[in-house]
Amino acid sequence: MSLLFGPMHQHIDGHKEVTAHNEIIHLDVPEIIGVALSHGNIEANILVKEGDHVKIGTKLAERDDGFYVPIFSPVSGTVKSIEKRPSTSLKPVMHAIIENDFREDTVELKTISEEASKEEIVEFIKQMGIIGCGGAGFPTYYKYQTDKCEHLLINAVECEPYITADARMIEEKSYYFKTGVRMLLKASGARDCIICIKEEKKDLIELIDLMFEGDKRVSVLKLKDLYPMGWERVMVYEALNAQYERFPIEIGAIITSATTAIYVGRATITGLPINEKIITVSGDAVKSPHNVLARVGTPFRNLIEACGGYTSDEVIVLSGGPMMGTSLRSDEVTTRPAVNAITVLTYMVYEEYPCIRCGACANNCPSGLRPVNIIQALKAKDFDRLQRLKVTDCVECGLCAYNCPSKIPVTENMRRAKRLLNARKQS
Amino acid sequence: MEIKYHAGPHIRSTRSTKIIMLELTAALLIVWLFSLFRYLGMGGAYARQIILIPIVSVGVCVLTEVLFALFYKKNVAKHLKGSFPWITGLILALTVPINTSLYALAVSAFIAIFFGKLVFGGFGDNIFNPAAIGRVTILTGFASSRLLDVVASPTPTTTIADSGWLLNQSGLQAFLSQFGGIKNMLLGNYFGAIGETNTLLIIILGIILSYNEILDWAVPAFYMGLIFAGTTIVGLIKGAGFEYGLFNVLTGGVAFGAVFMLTDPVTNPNTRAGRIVFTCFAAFFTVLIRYKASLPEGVCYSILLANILTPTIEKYFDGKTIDRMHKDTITVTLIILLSLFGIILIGLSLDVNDYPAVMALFKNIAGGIGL
Repeated sequence: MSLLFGPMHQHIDGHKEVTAHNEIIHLDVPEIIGVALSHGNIEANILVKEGDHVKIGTKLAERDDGFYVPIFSPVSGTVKSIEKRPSTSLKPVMHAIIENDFREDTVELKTISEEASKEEIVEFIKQMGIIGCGGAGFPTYYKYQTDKCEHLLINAVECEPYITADARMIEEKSYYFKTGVRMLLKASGARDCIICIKEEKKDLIELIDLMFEGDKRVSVLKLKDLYPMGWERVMVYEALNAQYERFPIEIGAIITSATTAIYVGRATITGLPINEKIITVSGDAVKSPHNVLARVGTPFRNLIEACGGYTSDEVIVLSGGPMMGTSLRSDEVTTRPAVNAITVLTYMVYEEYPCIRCGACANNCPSGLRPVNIIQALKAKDFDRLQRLKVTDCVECGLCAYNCPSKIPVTENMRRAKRLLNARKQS
Repeated sequence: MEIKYHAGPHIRSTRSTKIIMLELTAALLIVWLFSLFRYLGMGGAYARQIILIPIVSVGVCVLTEVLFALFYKKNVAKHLKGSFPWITGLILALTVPINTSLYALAVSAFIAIFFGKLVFGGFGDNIFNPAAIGRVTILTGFASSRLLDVVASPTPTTTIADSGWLLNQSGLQAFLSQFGGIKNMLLGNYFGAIGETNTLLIIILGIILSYNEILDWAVPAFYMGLIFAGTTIVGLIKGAGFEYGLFNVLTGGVAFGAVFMLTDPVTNPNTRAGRIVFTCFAAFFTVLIRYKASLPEGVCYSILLANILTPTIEKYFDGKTIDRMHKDTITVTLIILLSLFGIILIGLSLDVNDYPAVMALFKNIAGGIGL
C-alpha cells in the first residue's frame, strides 16, 4: 500500500559503472600484515605469541562463547607482536602483527568431498571460520544448524552504491560460486535455492543461468534497483512474499551472501580459509577506482594507493559503502574477512535546516519506522513513546538521513535514541 | 590530506529544503505574473495595486522576521535563510482581492508572521498555516477596509452565496454565463482573490511541483476530488446539472488553497495516511462553511480547522507503519467515505433556487431600502 504508507525504499544512484568492468588489481602482499584477533568487536582467545612461526591457515585465535569463529593467518611468517590497534569496527582490538616471509607455506589443508553429509558440511564451514562476507560477519555455520530450512536465498543484490565486489567475485570465481551454492544447498537441506540479483546486471544473470543450467532447484530472481533491496527482510519479502519476527528461519529461509558462497566453494576445493578478498575501492575522492584482490590484513592505505591515492584534501575513508559504511579515523586499519569495500568520499558539511515534518524519512523507511516522530520523542525524553515507536527495529540503513531535505542527521539521532533506550533498559 | 570522521550515511539526496522553498517561490511568482498581466491591462489603480500588494505583504513579513531576529540577537541573514518569510508573504498577497487596502494587508502580514509563526517557535514549529491566519485577519478584522477607487465586481462565490448556493439547471447556466461560463472560469478571467482565479494554471503548477517532490500530490488530489465528487452528486440529485461540481472546485480558491496552503508540510500530518485524513476533514469543513455558515468562502477557515486536528491525527496514527497497515487502511477508507457522505448530506439539505428569480428578489429589496 504505497498510496497510504510510502514506498519504503528508494532508488539511489549506484555509481557502479566506475568499477564494474575494469580489470582487477592484484595487490602485492605487504611485508607486514596486521590480523585483527577478534570477531567484530568481540575479543577472541589468542592462540599464538610473539616470535611464533605461522603458516597460511595457522589458527591465530578463536572465539568460542556460543559462537565458534576461528581466525587464521593469511600469510606465512613470524609473529612480531600482539598489540591493540584501531580496527574497522572503530574500537581498538588486539592484532597479530606478522612479518611475511613470502614463502607462502600452508598448513596441511583439509578439503571436503562434495558427497559429504549435511552435518559434515556444516561442521566444515564452522572449522573453516567462514563468516558472512556481505559486511555483517555473522558466523555462517550457525544459520545452517537447522532442519527447518525450505528455501536457500543467495544474496547477490549489492544494493549499496559504488560496491561491485560481489558481482566481480562471481564472474572471476564462478567455479567456486557454483560449488559453494551446491554445498550450501546440501547444508541447508532446502528444497530450492533462489539467487537474488538486481535486474540490470544482465551479463551476470546470464552467467548464473548458464552455471546452473539443468539444475531445477536453482533459480534466479531479478530485483529492482532499489535501496535497501539487499537487506534480508526486504529480500525475503520480495522472494517469498513473507515477513518474519526475528530470524528468516521462522519462515523456513536461510540467507547467505554470494561472496560467502564463493568462500564455501573455495574452502571445499582448496581447503583454504578466507585469506584474500576482492575489495571495491571506489568513491569520488579516489583517483582511479578499481576492484582490488588483497590479502586479509593489508592496510587500507595500500589498497587506496594502488588505486592512485586521494584526490581531495579532506576525505572520509569508509569500511563498506557510503550508506552503511563505518567512517575510519586512519587508513592504517587493515582489511578483515568481512570487509567488502573501501569507499573514499570528499568530506562535506551539509547545511542544516529546521525539520519541515515532510515525512520523507518515514515514507522511505524499510523498517516502517517514523524517524520524525522518534526524534520528537527523543527530544522530549519520552521513553514509553520510543518503545511504542519501536526504535530498536532500526537497522541504520541510512535512508532517512539520505532523504531528509533539511539535511538533519536523522540516522545519527536514531542511533542516539536506540542507545538511550538500551541504556535505560539495562539500568 | 586529512582523514575526517563523519556519521553515516555519507551521501545525501539532492532534494533539499532550500530547493523546495525556491521552487515554491517560483510557482507563486508565476501565479502572480498571470494576474499582473491581467490587471496591468486594466490600468490605473489596478496596475498600482497588483504591484504594491505583493511588495507590501512580502516586505512586512520579511521586516517582521528581521526585527524578531534583531530583538533576540540572532544572525539576521542566517535567520532569514532558514525561515523563508517571503513564502508566507506571497501566499497572503495572492489570497486577497485587488481592492484590499494596503494598510489592512500590512497589519495582516505582521499578524501572519508574528502570531502565526514566530510565537510558536518559528519555521517548522508553527501549528497553523501563517498565510491562512493573515487571510482570516483581513476577512474578519478588515472586511470593510476596501479601496474606493478600485472597483471589484462581486466574485462568483459571494454571488452564489447570496443565492443560497444551490440553483436549478437554467439558473446555474444563467449564473455561470455572467462569468463567461465554466471555460472562462477555468482560465481565471473574473474577479476573485488575485492569485486564486486561474485554476488551470494552478493545477498545472501543482502537477509540476508534485512531480518534483515539492509537495504531496495526494493532498490537493483528495481535497479537490472530494469536493468535486460530493458536489457533483449533489448537483445531479438536486437537478443543478453536471457543471455544479466543477463550479464548486473552480471558485473560491479551492485549487490555490489545495496546492499552496493545505500542502504545507509543517502544518499537516507527517504520514501519507494522516495527510489523507487531514484532507478529508478540510474538504468537509470547506463545504460545511460554504453551504451553512455566513461566510461565502470556506477554504482558509477549513485549512485552519484542519490544522488544529493535525496533532490529534498524528497521535492516532502514531506507531510503526508496518504494524498499523491493516488498521490504517480501514480507518482511511472509512474517513474518505464518511466525509464524502457528509458533503453530500450538507448539499442535500440546501433549497434549490431559480437564479433570475433570486436576483429579482434582491433588486426589489435593494430598491425598497433605497440602495
